[in-house]
Amino acid sequence: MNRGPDEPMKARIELTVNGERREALVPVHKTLLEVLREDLDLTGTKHGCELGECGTCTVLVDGEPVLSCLALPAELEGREILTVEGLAQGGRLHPLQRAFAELGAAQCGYCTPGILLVARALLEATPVPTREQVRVALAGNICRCTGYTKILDAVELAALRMAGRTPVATAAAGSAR
Amino acid sequence: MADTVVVGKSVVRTDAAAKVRGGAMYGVDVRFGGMLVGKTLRAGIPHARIVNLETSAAAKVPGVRAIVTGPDCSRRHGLFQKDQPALAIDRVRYAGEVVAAVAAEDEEAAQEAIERIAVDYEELPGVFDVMEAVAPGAPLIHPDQMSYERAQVTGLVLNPVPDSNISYHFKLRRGDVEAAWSQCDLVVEDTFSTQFVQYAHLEPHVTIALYDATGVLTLWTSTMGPHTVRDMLADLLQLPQQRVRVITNMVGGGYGSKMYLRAINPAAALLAMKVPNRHVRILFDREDEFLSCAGRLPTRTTMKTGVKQDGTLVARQSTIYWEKGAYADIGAVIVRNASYCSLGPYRIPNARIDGYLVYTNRQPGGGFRGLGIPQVSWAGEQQMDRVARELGMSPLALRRRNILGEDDVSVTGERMHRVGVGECLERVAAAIGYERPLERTAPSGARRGRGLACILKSTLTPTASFGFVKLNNDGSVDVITSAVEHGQGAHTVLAQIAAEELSVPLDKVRCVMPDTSVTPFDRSSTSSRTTFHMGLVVKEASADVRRQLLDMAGAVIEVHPRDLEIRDGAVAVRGAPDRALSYGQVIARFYGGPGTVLGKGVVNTKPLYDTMNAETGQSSRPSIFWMYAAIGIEAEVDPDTGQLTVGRMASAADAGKAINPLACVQQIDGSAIMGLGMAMMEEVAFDGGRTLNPTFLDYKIPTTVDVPDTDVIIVESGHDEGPYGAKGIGEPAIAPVPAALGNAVYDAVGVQVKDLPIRAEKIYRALRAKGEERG
Repeated sequence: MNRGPDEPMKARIELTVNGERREALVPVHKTLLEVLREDLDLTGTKHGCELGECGTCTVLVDGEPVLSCLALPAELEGREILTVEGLAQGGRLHPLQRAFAELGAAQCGYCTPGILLVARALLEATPVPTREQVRVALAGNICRCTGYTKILDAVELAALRMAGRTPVATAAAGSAR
Repeated sequence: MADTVVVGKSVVRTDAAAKVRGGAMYGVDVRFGGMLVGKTLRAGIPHARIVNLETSAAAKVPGVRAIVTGPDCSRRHGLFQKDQPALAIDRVRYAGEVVAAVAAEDEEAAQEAIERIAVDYEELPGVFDVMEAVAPGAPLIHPDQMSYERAQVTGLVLNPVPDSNISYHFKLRRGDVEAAWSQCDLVVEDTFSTQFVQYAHLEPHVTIALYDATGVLTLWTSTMGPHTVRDMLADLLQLPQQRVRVITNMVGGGYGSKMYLRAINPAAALLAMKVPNRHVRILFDREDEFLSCAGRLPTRTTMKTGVKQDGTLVARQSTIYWEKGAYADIGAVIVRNASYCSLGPYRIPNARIDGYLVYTNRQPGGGFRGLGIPQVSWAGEQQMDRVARELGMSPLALRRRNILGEDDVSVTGERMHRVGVGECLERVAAAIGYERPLERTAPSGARRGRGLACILKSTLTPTASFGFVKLNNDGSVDVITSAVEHGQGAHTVLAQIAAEELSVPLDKVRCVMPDTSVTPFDRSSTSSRTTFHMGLVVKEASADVRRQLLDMAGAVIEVHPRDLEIRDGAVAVRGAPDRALSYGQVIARFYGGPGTVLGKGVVNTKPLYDTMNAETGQSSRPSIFWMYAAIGIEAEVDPDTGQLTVGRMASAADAGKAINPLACVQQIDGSAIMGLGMAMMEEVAFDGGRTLNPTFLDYKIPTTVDVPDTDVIIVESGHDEGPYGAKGIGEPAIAPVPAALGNAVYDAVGVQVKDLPIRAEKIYRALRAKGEERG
C-alpha cells in the first residue's frame, strides 16, 4: 500500500457503546475492534484472527452478533453496540457471566467475551434453547481450552435461571465423577 | 492426611470473575503511550542463501525508527544446540523464517517499510520429508551443526550424527530383542505417521520491548516460561540476566507454544535496543502464527511387537523419525521422553527403541501438549488392538494382562508406584460400556464401533523452582512465583494451597504475575509441572510463614512457640482459644508497627532423578511423576462414504490428588477434545516447504458442533512427594485420543488408518481397497 506524506484521513465518529455515547477521531479505515480497544479503552473485546474466522471479537449491534474485526465504525453510528464490559448491570454479573464463572466455562478466558455475547443474543431470541440450538448458535466461536462442554452447560444453566427455573444441582462439582 | 478446607474443593477459579467481565489483562492488552509498531518480514522461500538484503529504501519511509536484520546479532540461540539466529543470517531454512524487522511510528509506515525491503535469494535444494532428510546424500540443512555451541539441559546432551540432518539419536536397549522374537507366538509390524498440528491458541504472540536509560531491557510478552525467555535472551544479547526483565500477564492459551525464543522476542528486543526509551510492540497476526511459530512434530514410526499366545508382551521395537523442521529447539526432550513412552504403560521385558530428531526445511515444530505421546501412542495403542485381534483376544483383556501396576518394573528399569493407568482404563471402558453388547448398525445405516487407548507420560526432570509467600499487615497473602496463568488454573490451585496452609479465606490470597526482576526462578509453566512443583514451593513457603508467625507470637505474648498453634487464621495458645492474636496483630505487636512475614519455598528434583543412560535409556527414576490417562470412544462410520462421527467419549486421567476437581475436569475435557481435533481434522498442509492453509478458514479445529458428549473421570492414585499427593493433569488426556478413535474405526468397519488425521476419504479408500481385495 502506498501512502502519501500526509496523515491518513481521520473522521469524527459517534458511537453508542454499552448505553453511552462515545466520540472518537479515528482513521476511516480503522475497524470497530481497533476503535473499541485502542480509542475507547474497551479491551474486553479480543482479537483472534482479524479475518472474521474465529468469533473471538464478537460484539452485539442492536442485539445481533457482529464480528468487530470486520465492522467499520462509521457504518454503526446511531446503533446500539454492546461489548462484554456492558453485560453486567452495575456490580451485578449477567446470569451468563455467573454461570460461566461457576461452571468453569472460562479457562484461558480469551474467547469468553465473544461467546458470552453470542449466547446473550441466543437467549434473547430463544429463552430456553435446546443443547443443539446452543451448539449451532456458538458454532462460529472457537475455543481451544475447554472442549466446549462447560460452555454448553453454562449457557443452559443461565437460560434456566433467567427463565426462573433454577436447576437443583448447580455448579461447582461439574461433571466430575 | 488431616481434613482440608479449601484443597480438594471445586472452588470457583480466582480468575473467573475478571475473565467473564472482560477485565482480565492479557499480553495483548498491555499498552504504552507512543509505542512504536514493529513488523517482521518472512522469507517466503524455504531454503536459500541470502545474497543481498537491502534496507535503504525502507529506512527512508517517513516514521521508520529502526530496522534490524540477521547481522545485527551474530550469536545464535537454542536449548541444546545453538543453531538458530535471532533473524536469519546468510541462510534461510524455512519459509516463515524472519529475515528483517522494522519499528515505525504507525502501522502504515511499518508495513510500507517492510514492503520496501529488498532481498535477493539464491534458492537451495530443500528437504521436506523426514525420510528424504535421513537418506544418504540429502542436502544438509545445518552443514555446521558439529561446531554449534551445546548445553546440557534436563540431563540431556545432544549427539548429532556428523554430515547428516540428525541432531539427536535416542536409544533404549532392554533385554535381548533379537533373541526374544523367536520366543513369541505372534509378531506384528506396522508403520504409522502423524501430521503437523498447529496450537491455534486464540491470543496471538505479542511482545513489547523497551531498552531504558538504565540499560535494562524489559519485555512484556505472552509466554509460558518467562525465566527461560530471560535466560535465552540474556545469552543471545550477552546481557547480564538482571538487565533482561520479562513480565508476563494473563496468557490467552499456550499449549506448549509461546515458549523459548520464537522470532518475535529477539526481533522486538533488537529493535528496542536501536531506539532506547521507546516501547516497540510486535503483535503476530494469524498468518504469522501459522507460518513463523511452531507446532506438533510430525512422525514416522515403524513398530514391531511380539507376544505369547496368552497375550503376554515379550518384546517391542520402535524406530521413530521425528521431523523437527529448521531448528532443534526443545526437540531432543520430545524425542527422548516420547520415544521411551512409545512402549506404552506396559511390562515389556525386551525392548529396543531408536528415536531420531531430524532437520528439514519446514517450519520448526515445538513442544505441544502431550509432548510426543499422542504421536507414539497412535502407533503403539493401535498395534495393541491389532495384536489382540490376531490373538482372538479382547483388546481390553490384552491390556489388562500387561498393564503396569504397583511394584512393576518399567521399560527404563524403574520400580513403579501408585500407578493409576489401570484404573483409568477400567473406568473409561465401563463408561462407554466396552464389554457390553453393541448395536452394530445405527438407524442411519452407519456402522458402530468402540475403541480404547491408554498412555503414560513423564514430566521435565530434573528442574528447580522457587517462590515466596508474603503475609501482609492485614492478614492478606501474596503468592510470589513465576507460575504463568495460561488458562490451566495454576493461580487458583496455588491460591488454594496457600489459603489451606495459612488458614485464611481464599479471597485473601492473590497470585502475582511473573516478573523476572521480582518473582523467583521457575523454568516454565509447561509439562503439566506447576501443580506439583509450584504447589510444593507454595506449601513450603507457607509453612515457613507459619513457623515465623509462631516465633513472633511467642515473643509477643511470652509463650513458647510449641504451645502455640495456627487456627482459623490466627495464632492461638493451645488449650486457651481466647488467647488468640490475628496475623495482623502479631506483625503489629512484634514490629511495633507495620511489617511483613516472608516465607521461602524451594523444590529441587535433582536428588530424586537418575540420569538416563545415553546408550541404554535406562534410569531408575527418569521423571519425578508419571501422568496416566485413558480414552474410550464410541464412533459411527458410514460404510459408503467413510464419514466418521464420534458418538461419545470418556476420558480419565490420574491427578494423584485433585486440588480442585473442577479445574481437573476442565483440563481433562479440554485436552481430550484437542486430541479429537488432531485425530479427525487438523493438519497443516504443505506444498514442499510452503504452508497451504494458514488460516482458521482452511485449518479446521473442533467447534461446538463437532464435539461429542463427554464423560470426564478423575482418578486419584496419590503421589508420595506431591503436594497433598497431587501431580500434573494438563496434558495426558490428549494423548490416547487418536489411537482410541483409530481402534473404534477398525471396530466399526474393519479397516485401519495408519496416517493421521483419520479423514473420511482415508476410511473410504481403505474400505474400497478392502472390498477389492475380497473381489
